[in-house]
Amino acid sequence: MGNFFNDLITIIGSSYKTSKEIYDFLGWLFAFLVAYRTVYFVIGIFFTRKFKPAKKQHKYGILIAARNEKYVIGNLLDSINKQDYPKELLKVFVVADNCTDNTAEIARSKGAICYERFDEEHKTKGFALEFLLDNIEKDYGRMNFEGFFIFDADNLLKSNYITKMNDAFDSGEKIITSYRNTKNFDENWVASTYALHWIRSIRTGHRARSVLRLATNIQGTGFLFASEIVKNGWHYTSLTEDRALTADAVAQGYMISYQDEAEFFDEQPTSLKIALRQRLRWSKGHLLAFVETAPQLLLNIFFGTKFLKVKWSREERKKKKLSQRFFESLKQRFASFDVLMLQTPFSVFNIVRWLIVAVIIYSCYTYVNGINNFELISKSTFVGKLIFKLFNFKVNVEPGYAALGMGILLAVWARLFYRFCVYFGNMWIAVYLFIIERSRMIKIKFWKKVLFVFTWPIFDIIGRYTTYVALFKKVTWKQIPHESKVTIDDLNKAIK
Amino acid sequence: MSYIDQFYKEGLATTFYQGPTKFIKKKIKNKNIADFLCLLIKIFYTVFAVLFAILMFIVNFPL
Repeated sequence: MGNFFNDLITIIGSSYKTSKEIYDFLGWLFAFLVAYRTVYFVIGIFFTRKFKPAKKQHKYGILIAARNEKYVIGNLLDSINKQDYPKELLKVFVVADNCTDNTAEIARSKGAICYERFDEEHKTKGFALEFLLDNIEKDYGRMNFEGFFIFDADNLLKSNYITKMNDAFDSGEKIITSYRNTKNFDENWVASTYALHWIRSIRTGHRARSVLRLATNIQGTGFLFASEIVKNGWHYTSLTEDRALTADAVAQGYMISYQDEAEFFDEQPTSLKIALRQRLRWSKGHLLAFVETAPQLLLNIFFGTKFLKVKWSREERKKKKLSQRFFESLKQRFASFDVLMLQTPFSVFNIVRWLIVAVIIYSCYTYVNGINNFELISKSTFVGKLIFKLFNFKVNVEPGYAALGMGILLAVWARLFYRFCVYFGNMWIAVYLFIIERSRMIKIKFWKKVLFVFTWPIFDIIGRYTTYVALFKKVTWKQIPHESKVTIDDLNKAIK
Repeated sequence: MSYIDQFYKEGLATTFYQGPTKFIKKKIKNKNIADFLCLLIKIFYTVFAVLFAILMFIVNFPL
């Protein structure tokens, strides 16, 4: 038995050098696949797409899914009623989803059309929207509206929000997302990490993609889509309906634009427990969205517009010149690739790669060869290089079981140290965001900004580990409570 | 708004170009000197922005 293990470890260890080459190649490949995003980052520093004032004011339906939202829904409806857009062109629909409070009553008192739904089995927001759009079809006809907005009950809109979104819609865009600001940025560090995350996604994704006329990603709320998208109803009922819609829309040939001038506010969780629960749901939803949509996106990358399902796109394409069609096909392929990269759970691939090569095979290798001058401080990051200059330790262990155990420990240490350096290095992003977006943020005390810079990396750390947990855990939809009494007038004052 | 306008009116420009320019125009009464200083700030901001973009590219580039 002892000999069997000894032989097994020796065989595994002997493949280390080849495995390490594959490991390094995969690392390089993953980095190469997402390297183009650096260009997004640079474009996002300076530019975003601007839309000309609309020639026509379009008719929209506003969809709000609410579950026990009595504290916040009134303020959202007030902010909608204060829009500088003709009232006769807007109709607000609320689905009071499994409510046990007076959400429906408040919604009706503020002029919204409210449908009540009671279904404890199908609990996601997607199911509520499906129910709402089915009822709209029965009572009003979905195609009687040119487009639909989707908001969460805790949102608040700036008074020109719909006018600005109409500018983008009138320019021919079919799906448009908007600037997501935060109501309670300075409430505590948990809320601040979310707030910074939304701004980061604007600066590093939405802005550049809008400039390049590519497809950005929808983020749950604060977006508008043409009614043709839901001509046959709403089919995105997974845990993260936004990811599913993004991937499906792009897979079908739609681009998703971004209107920087349309701004809304959102309430972020302030409790770590609720944040963890929400992030776990997102992670699970992202993994499912990847599994569901990756094949169609891959098909689009390799075959361009050939397999697109959308008819309007096909008819419009026929009118265009060959060169234009070629360019569009190229754009479609790249947009599909971009969304696929967004959906791909690289952290999962990386942890599998690391477990197999850096932990198992490396420790077996050390069992035979021992550990020779292993540097505890890795120089693979800027922070690592800095720490290396200050001090460094080398580890040497003779071959045998001690080396095997130490090999595992060192692999774990190297990984943790690398991730720590990456996260610590990412603090500068928070500084950058605080400077570049300061005119749009609510006023925050300086000491709080400093604190939030230090706590900011926790957002990405949570995301990474909830993804690992989501691989094995069954996740169900649970409500995120909203209790903020802040109104849009309060926020306008706080930003001035 | 053109992209050049955006470059000088939004984001970093509000802090590093618009802010100092407004301050100079408010504090310096001599128009010629104020214009000259504003031009200097514009040149400084342009160089700074380009260098910043290059630095950001290097820092973010994963390869």
